[in-house]
Amino acid sequence: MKAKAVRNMMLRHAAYSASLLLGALLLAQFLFESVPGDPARRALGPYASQESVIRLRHEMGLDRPLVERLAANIRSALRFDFGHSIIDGRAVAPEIGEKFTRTFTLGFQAVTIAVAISLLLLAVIHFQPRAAFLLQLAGAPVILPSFLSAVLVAIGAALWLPAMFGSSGSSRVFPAPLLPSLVAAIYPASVLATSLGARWSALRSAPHYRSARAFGLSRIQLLFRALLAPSAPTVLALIVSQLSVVVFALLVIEIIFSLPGAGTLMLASIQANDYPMLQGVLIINAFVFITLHFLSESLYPILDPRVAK
Amino acid sequence: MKRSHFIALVAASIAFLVMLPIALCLCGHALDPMTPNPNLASAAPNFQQWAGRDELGRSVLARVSLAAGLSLGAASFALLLALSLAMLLGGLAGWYHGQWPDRLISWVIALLHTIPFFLLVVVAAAIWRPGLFGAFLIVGLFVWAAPARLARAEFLRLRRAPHVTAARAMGFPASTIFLRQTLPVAFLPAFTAVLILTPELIGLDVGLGFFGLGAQPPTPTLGRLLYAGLSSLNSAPWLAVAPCAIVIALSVTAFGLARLWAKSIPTSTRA
Amino acid sequence: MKKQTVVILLGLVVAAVVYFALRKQPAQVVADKSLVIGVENDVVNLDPLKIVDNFTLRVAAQVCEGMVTLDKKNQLAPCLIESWSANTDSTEWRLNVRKGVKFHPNACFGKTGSREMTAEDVAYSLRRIVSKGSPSAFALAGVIEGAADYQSGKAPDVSGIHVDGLSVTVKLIKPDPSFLYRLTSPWFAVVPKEAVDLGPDVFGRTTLIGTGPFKLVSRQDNEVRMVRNPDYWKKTAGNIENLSFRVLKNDAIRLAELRGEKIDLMRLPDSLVNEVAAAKPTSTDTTIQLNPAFGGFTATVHPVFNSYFLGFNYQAVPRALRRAVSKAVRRAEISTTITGGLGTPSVGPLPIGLRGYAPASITEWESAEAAKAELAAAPDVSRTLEILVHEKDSSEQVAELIQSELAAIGITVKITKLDFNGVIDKVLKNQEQCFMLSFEYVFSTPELILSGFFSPEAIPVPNLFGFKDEHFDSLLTELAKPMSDGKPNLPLIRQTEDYLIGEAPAVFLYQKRSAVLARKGITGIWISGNNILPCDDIVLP
Repeated sequence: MKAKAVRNMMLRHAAYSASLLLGALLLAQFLFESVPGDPARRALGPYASQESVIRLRHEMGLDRPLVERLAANIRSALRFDFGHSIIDGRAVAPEIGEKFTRTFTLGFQAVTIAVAISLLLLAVIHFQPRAAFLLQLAGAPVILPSFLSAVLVAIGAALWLPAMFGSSGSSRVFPAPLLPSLVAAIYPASVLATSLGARWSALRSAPHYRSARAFGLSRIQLLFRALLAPSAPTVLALIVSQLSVVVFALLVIEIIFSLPGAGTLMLASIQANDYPMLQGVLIINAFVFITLHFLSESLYPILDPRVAK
Repeated sequence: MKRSHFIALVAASIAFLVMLPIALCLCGHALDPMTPNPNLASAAPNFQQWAGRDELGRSVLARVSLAAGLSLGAASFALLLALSLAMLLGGLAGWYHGQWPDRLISWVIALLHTIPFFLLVVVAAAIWRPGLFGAFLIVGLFVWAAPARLARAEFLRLRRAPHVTAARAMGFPASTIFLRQTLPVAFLPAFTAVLILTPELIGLDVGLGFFGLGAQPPTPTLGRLLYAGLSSLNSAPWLAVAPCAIVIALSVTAFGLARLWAKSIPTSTRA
Repeated sequence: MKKQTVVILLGLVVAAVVYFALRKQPAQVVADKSLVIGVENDVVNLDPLKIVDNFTLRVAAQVCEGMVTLDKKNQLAPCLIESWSANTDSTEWRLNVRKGVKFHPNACFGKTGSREMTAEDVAYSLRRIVSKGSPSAFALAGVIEGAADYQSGKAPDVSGIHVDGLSVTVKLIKPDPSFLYRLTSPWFAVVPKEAVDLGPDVFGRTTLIGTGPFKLVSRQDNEVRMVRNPDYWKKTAGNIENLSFRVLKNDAIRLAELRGEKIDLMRLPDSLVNEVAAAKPTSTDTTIQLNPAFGGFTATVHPVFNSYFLGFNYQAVPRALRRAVSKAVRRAEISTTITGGLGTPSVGPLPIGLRGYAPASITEWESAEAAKAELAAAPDVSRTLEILVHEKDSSEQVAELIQSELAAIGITVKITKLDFNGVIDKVLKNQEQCFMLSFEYVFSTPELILSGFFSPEAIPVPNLFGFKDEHFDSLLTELAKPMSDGKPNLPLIRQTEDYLIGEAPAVFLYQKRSAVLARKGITGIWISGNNILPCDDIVLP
């Protein structure tokens, strides 16, 4: 019975995620319908002849009616085919796949570092309550805009510690270069530490914690069973929400560190008005994040049995 | 919280979000932020020019002041737009809980929540190339999802709150109940959530600047000044220091105000 | 477990993380004779036919070579074409291909691994340059017989290109004594058909086959690696075995990497001159005095062919306003403020010193009084202008300076920033009033620059102004006649340029020399007029 309930819920979630994906496609379509003037002419730039503009208009489907165009776009999005880059005719999907794989690798690395740092900090405070002032300190980066702290640390590190970020090894995908991911981890670590800190202090005053203490559980048992386990769903939700913040901060950090990732791809596409590429970026990211949300929501019942009931 | 404290808080918020940007802009304009003076290019700070001069010999103090005014103004413009949208749509969703307006609005909120917000803004700005305030109009149009969620939850809770039930029993019309009983209470958490976003929005300009989107030259914004200043950190550090200090000051103020607002929410209505 | 133990363990873990984060990465394995060059822009595609910016061309030019080239005195010199001859009215050119030049080895050549370059390859490359969609087609399409038909798809082949044993014959539409000067840029490279046929996802992206002094090993957007070509046909002075280009877009970070010895050499952008120079370089300096913090480096300055200007929409902006602006701007001030002393103010488009050419001086032309007089004579003309600027070449700052200078004579300027392509797009559609751009000349004689960039046939590209003037065209026709001694007709060139300045399709502002900042001890650095740094001449200590 329970397994069936879980399955039904998963199905409902999946249907909802699919509808969100359709919404993202519609939103992207709306955005790119609203390009002022002639997108083909705007995109082709300096040396384009009228014929190549007409050819591109045809390729982008601009000579067909809106509904037909929309249907065609949804069809090709389902096949993960987003057309070709206007800049040099590369296929959009593999290019975005390659570049965003790097950026997401960096992002996951940064979020992992952030989770490790914040949990360590909270654990230290758990064993040594006098260290609670550290939590206040850790909250400081949240006040500053995430870009600003990233940009400042990145440029500062490049200027004063050039030995640290030599991009000699930056061509490999994993493990991604350490310094950029450390820089990107600052902000989410701060957010995680503050939010989890608040959650844990709420948990500490909850009845189950007090009864657990009364039962004589040791501090380390308390940490794992009364604090970590109940806050697992919060951690999961925070990781997913921070990932999108981190990925965007990384776009800028990549430009600063000249790493070959999504940031440089976006910069080039924006400057060259490469609309198929931008559309691909938007839709693929929507797909990735909707899937992540779906996965994290599906994990919820496993982590938090109350939800499944 | 005392009523006088609350009024002081409202006044401080209006001063910060509305008066301060205007004052900074006027102040910057008065100090002449635009006229180049090539003979004094990159002059170090002195008693006449406390913050030095930039690579074209313009007063950094004047430019930073104008930039702070514009950036903060644009950010508060976006925030107030987002707040109105959040209150309106979140309110509707909460009020019509479970019916189609709620489903539709909640669906849009979920959609905006899952797509990375900055990516959406950058792509939209890349398409429309809208200038500074246009870019923040876009920000306002996309950033309302989070506060709207809070507003919806508040409305949902308030619908069953005793004082609303009492008002309904006394025969007040729905619109009156909506405007007088629920709106003011639901407003606080959404406003706090929005205020916390201020530093992030001031910083967003830096991000937009990296992609060549945002304000038009020679109009300065904090993001543009900061980015330009960072490239001459060795020879003219004052070009980066002044805008950086202002960003930090504005961020800390916004955060402090948000904390005070959060404290002003009566404990009974806290989530 | 004891509390203290846990704390100590946690502390150890933190210390380990910090240690691994801060640990110096092992120094780059510096094989003997390696040179790393820091570059400004992503290297996305190295196929010469896809290159539209000079940054990428500078990288590709180490692998691919053109048919002819420029020597250190900027004179025409043979390269892959060993010798040439033309008929009496220079409408038919016979290009003799160099023997014994081998392409870089690659699997696309089959079992042999490589092969010699032939006249077929030269003809193939010429056809490719004038093919549809080629950005460099404008230089040849209106010149070679049948090229326009081939480009528009009306003809399957270019009727004016014939292969004849070891030489290629090119027929021109009209007499052109300086035809070969059109081809001195490595943009017009000779590439083998087999390599191009590997497809657009391979050629230019992962493979680049040429005949040059270096072979491509790998290309990533942010890093390009090359090794010396042991079979290079020319004896070179340099000793570099491994050559790599690392992309570092942020100027400050690129400079930091140079100081940290992660890169050995970089171009010095104008924005960094103040940062490194002890004193602003003067126009005659060939080196820059560096401040003591850069004691381990040298900076050299090299003249190149370019022109930075404020262009007008010739039809939309009235002559009086154009002339007033051109007389009112203070070129010397703009040049020194913006370029950090690397620029030389100039009123005309022609590179100073190109084939012995000496242009008009600024003081004869610039004058605020004359500008006011121009405006006073045309009271009905509107006094507002919109200037389009972009992210490159400090164009924004130049426009800001011009804005304040023009305010002094009563002209109001509005600045609009677009991306670089956006500016060119508007210019091509005639939707603009004024724009900040620059020319990097691919031609290397004054006559070619004047006719190639300002004649009505060159509209819309590269005659972005839409400049059309009958008297100017008659001067161009006069210029096209060859001189008996084969030298340029300097007085006539001067007369033509002066006329162009007077009509002011653009306000020519300054020309900029290229500066190179390198580790001390690296010698043999020079830059050709085409703004290419031949790395095969660089000698490492």
